[in-house]
Amino acid sequence: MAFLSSLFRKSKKGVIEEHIAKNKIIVYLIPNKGYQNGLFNIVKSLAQRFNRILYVSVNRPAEILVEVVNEMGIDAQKFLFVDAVNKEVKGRSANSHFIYITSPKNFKEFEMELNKVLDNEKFECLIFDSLSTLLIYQDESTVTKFTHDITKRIIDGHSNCTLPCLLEDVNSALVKDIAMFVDKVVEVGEDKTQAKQDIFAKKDAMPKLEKEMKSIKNAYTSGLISEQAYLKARKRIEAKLLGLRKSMRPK
Amino acid sequence: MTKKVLIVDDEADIRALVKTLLEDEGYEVTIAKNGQEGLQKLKKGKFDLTLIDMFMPGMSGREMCERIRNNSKIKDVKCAFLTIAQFSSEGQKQIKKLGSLDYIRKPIDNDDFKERIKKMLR
Repeated sequence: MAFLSSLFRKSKKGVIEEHIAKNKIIVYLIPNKGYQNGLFNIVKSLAQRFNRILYVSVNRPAEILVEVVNEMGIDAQKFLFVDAVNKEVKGRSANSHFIYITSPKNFKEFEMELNKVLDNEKFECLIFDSLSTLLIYQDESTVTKFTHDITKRIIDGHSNCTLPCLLEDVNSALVKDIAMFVDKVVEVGEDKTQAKQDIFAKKDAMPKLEKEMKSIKNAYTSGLISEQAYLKARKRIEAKLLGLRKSMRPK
Repeated sequence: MTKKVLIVDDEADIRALVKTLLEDEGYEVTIAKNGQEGLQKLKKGKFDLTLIDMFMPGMSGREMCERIRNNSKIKDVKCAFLTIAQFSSEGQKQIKKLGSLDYIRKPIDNDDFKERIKKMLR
C-alpha cells in the first residue's frame, strides 16, 4: 500500500476545514486526474470533525476504501461504508462496518435500499462517492432529483453532506442544478486545494469542456467505459459546447 | 384584459391542479409537459407569466429559464419556479440571477399560491 501514502503527502489544511465548518451540504469538484488524492484529503478533514460518517460508494468496493482510510491513519471505526459496487454480497457484513446494496445500474432498487440505510443508521456526515459515476447509469435529471432528495433528508436530519463530483462535469446541467440547493460548490485544485468562486465563468468553460471530451474519449479507447456511455457523454458535451458557442456569439 | 399563464410541468396532477386554480381566478391557461414544449409555446404565443417546474426530465427548469433569457424574442417574459426544492441561500441568489420573480413550493398551498400569482401579475 506504499503508493497510497504518496497520495496523501500534501497536506491541504485550512481551506477545506473552513468550508466544512461553515457549510452543511457541499459539492466538491475534483479533477479526474488526482481524484482519489483530492477526495481523501476531504475525507481526512471530515474524519477530524465528525465521529460517525456514512460513506456511500458507487465507485470502489468498501474493502479498498477501508484500506485507504487505514493507510491515512484515520480511525476506520468512525465509518460505515455502504458499498454499491460489490455484485456478489448483499446486506450487512459480519464486522458490521460494511453494508452492501444494489448497484445504481438498477436505480430504483439502489435508491430504495439506500433510503432504508439512511432511515436506519445514525450519522453526522454523509459522503456520496460520486455523483459523476451515477451519470454513467442515469440521465442528469434523474441524478439531480436523487441528489435533491438526499440533501433534503440531510437537512431534515440536521446532518452534513459531502458530494464529490468530477471537475470535468462542472458545466453539466447536474452541477448547475444542484448548485441551487447545496450550501457551497467548491472546486478542488489538482495539486493545491483552492476554493474558487464563480465556477461558471464562461471564459473558462470552453477549454474545460474540450478537455472533458478528450478524457472521455481516452477512457473509451482504453476500454474504461462502454461505447454507450461514451456516446451519451459525447452527446452531452457537444450540446454544452454548442450552447456555449451560441451564447458567446456577438448579438 | 385576461392575463395569460403558461404552466410547464412534467407531472400531470400538478398541471391539472395549477390550471384549475388559475382558471378559477379568471386567467387564461396553457400547459406544456416539458421545457422544450414550453419554449415552443412561448415563442408562438404571448404570455404574462410562465410557471416552470424545477425538476423535469430532459431540460430542467433552470435550463429552460436560461434559454428564455438568452432568446431575444422571449427574454422579457415573467418566470417563476414551481418546485419541491429547498433552495440554499446561494440557490436563491441564482434564482434572482435567472430573472425569476419567485418560487412556489410544492405541495401547493392554494390560497398562498393565488396571492403570489396575483402579485407577480400586477
